[in-house]
Amino acid sequence: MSQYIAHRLASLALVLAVVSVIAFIVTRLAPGDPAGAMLGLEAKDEDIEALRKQLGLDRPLVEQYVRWASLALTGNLGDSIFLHKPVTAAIIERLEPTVLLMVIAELVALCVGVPAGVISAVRRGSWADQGFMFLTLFAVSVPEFWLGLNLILLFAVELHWLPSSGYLPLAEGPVGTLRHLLMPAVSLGLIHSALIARMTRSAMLEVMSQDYIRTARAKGVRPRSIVYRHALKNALVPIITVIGLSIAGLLGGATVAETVFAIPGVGLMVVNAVSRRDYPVIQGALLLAAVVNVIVNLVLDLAYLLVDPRIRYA
Amino acid sequence: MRHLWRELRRRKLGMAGGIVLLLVATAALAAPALAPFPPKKLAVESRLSPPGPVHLLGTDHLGRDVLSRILYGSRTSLWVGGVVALVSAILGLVVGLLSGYFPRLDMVLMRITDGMMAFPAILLALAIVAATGPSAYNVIVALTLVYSPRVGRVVRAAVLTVRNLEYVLAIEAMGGRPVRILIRHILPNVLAPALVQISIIFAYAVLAEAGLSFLGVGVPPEEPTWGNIMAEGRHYLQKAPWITLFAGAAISVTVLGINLIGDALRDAFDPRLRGGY
Repeated sequence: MSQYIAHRLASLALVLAVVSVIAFIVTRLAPGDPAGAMLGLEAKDEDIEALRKQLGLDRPLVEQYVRWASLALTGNLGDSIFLHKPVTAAIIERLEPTVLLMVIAELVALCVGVPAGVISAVRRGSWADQGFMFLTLFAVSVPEFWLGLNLILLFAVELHWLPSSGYLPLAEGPVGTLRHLLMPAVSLGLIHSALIARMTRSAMLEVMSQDYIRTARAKGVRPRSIVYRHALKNALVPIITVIGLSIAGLLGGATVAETVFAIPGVGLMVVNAVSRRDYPVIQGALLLAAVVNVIVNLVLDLAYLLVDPRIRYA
Repeated sequence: MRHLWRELRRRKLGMAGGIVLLLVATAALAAPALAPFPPKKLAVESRLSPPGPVHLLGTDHLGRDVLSRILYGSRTSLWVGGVVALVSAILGLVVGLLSGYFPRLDMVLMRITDGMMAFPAILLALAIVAATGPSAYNVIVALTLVYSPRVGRVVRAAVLTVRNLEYVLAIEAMGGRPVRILIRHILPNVLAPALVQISIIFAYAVLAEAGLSFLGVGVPPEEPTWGNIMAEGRHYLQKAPWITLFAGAAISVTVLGINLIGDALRDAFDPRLRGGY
């Protein structure tokens, strides 16, 4: 087992190295160089030259990468051009709403997706199954921000139940925080519940066709107990996998949701950085999103060991 | 193939999806004939007018006819989605076939794929377009870069399942050239999963085009797309909800159509999941 973990950690390091190269290259795709793009067309040549020096853009590309990556390893992602502070500090300041939004959205997705998937599998072919599966397809066909805008129209503009935008920090009381995060989290969570419902359904169908389920049925175990004690337990591994897969989607989705609902989180900061051509922020947030995604997935992979003894002893 | 066609016809929702997509594609092609107004025609006197007999779906903040803009917008949206799906398919097939067949290449290609797929798709595309500048071309390039590793992954997995089957080993033993083996003998066996994946990417790409516009880096608003109609309409959400409402509905119905086709394809290839509908 420790060999398995060591192997996973080694491949994690490799992926992170590749990820850092990609995050570094992406912002260098700009025609000319970032300094010129940041200062705009009217900038004087000597200003551009000064900024190039300041950002180290006059050095060879490989040297630039090595410097950036080794600083990034220590948690230093450079300074934001526009916010005049370290990118890491700017991200940390805005982390609370983003993390809360993602956690609540994931909870919504699980609470809707898993039961829907189980019911669909148990009553395969029924109206409930057909209805749920059509809804999941519809959910992945709707633009997330459109769902968010429609929620605003209904619950904020028409009914005045919830605030249409903004955020209240947890420190000022959890009720206000929750009221502001409810719509964004539900719009994000509902869309992601579709993937979870589908994976749960197919995992359950797979398990329900196994011999031990038939045996349990034959010896007279109650159907309810078969579903929960025998089938769902064994369907957990693919469900955990899909939670891992949904992390990337949630990170991207949170960016969109923060833009729709004007929540001052990391996602909105990136979107603003794009319009201001604040490349260090874009680069840093991009890197962070990938690192979070990779690490959460590693942790979930290790969670298999807890859930499935077969993997533990293999 | 014949069997596949029969399966598809049997799946009514898949057919419905095909019909929806066909209608949308026809509307896109016939946009100049169908649109009641030129999509860029300004009419300040009738700005933000609600749906009515003259402007069936209302007008936007510059008095432009929303129906006409949605009709013309379908051209760019479908074009972006279609090109992304097609080019991702070709790139993904090449990468997946090479990776699945040559273990040495696999090491390198899969690490790059892992790295690309570690990023949230919309964020990576956002960063690429932010660097290269907002245009339809750059949106297509960004989305292709983001989605082709996903096709590559699926194709590679499919290659690995047939790679060591006896018929492939037999041809290798007879001295068949690798390229020929890949194209003649392995490719046909990986097309099915690749096709399903391509339909999914088509759907994703149409949604992502809209998402990028919404985040401010999409196709510039002179050329209407479903995404930038909504991105502009968003600022008039309270006064003129019809702009985003109808453009979003157009995207949803189209993407649903594509997803219904993709679902029917997957069921046809993998009968174990059947029964949903």
